Amino acid sequence: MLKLALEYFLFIFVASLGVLQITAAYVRLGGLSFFTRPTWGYIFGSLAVVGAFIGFYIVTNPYPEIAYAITFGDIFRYGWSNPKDPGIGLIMGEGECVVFFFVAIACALPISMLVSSLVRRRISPGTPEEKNGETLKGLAALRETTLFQAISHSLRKGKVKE
Amino acid sequence: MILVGDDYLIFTIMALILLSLWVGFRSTAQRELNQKAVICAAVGVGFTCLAILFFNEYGPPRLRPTDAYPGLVNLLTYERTDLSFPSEPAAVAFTFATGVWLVKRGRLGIVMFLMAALLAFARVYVGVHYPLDVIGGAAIGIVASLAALGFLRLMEPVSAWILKGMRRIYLA
Repeated sequence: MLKLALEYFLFIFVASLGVLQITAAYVRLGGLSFFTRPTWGYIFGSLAVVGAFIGFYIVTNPYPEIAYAITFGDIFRYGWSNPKDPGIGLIMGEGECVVFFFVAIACALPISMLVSSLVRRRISPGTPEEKNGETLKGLAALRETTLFQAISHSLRKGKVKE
Repeated sequence: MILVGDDYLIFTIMALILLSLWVGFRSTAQRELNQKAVICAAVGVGFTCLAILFFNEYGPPRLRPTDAYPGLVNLLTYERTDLSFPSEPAAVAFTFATGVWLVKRGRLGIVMFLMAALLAFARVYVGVHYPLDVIGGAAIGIVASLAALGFLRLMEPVSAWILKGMRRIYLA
């Protein structure tokens, strides 16, 4: 059960990284992108998504002959050991897939921001751009700055206010 | 068709579309709309899972077509050990599609509905469900998304507060 969970998590995590790079390149979200040029974002993202699907479907082969869809109830009841006979293969239940998906995204999004901050250091002005006199918040702030730049800017702003 | 009707492909593609909706915006207004659509779909999936649990516990114990008619159904994919009604993949796929459609409308909602319909058809085609199972699943998914939208409207201050918190840490 643990093997299936890890394989599925890895599949979603890598695919999510790819989708984040493609989207960041498309909407020019600099603080999320690993690359200065959007073309590299598209290439890296596409390779990650295709690689994740190939890895999951061809390398790990998620098709058993007889399948039992695991639930979180099984995980609580049996831990990570197989709840069925060894002859019955395991697949993820849809609700469980959703939870794994959110966990993978919860890892992929901050990791993308951290890697982008480390790789790109400084994108342009170092302050989140302003619109209608209001500083952009959240992901919108990462359009022109990296995560580290945005955090240091908000900290400095807090100090000035004090 | 075997790939389309499996437990992962369409569902994963739809979830990845939701992820790209979450981060893919060009204006603040678009961000509000996109993220509301994703939240509606996510809460809807929660309701769908509860409904499926309820049906599995108290619903009719309907066998899979291959178990009910051994030798008559040509099973194209792996055999399942759980009950046939309702179709969980169809329910989750229609929840995603309805959640996006209710908040965002437009072409993306239609594309997601088409993907959900394709998944539902493929599940019957490969022999793991009866048509009524996927129709039941689709109905559960649509109702769950409508309920999620109503719930989010009721809990508007809470969802706004959660989004605000996520924006503080650059996650939304």
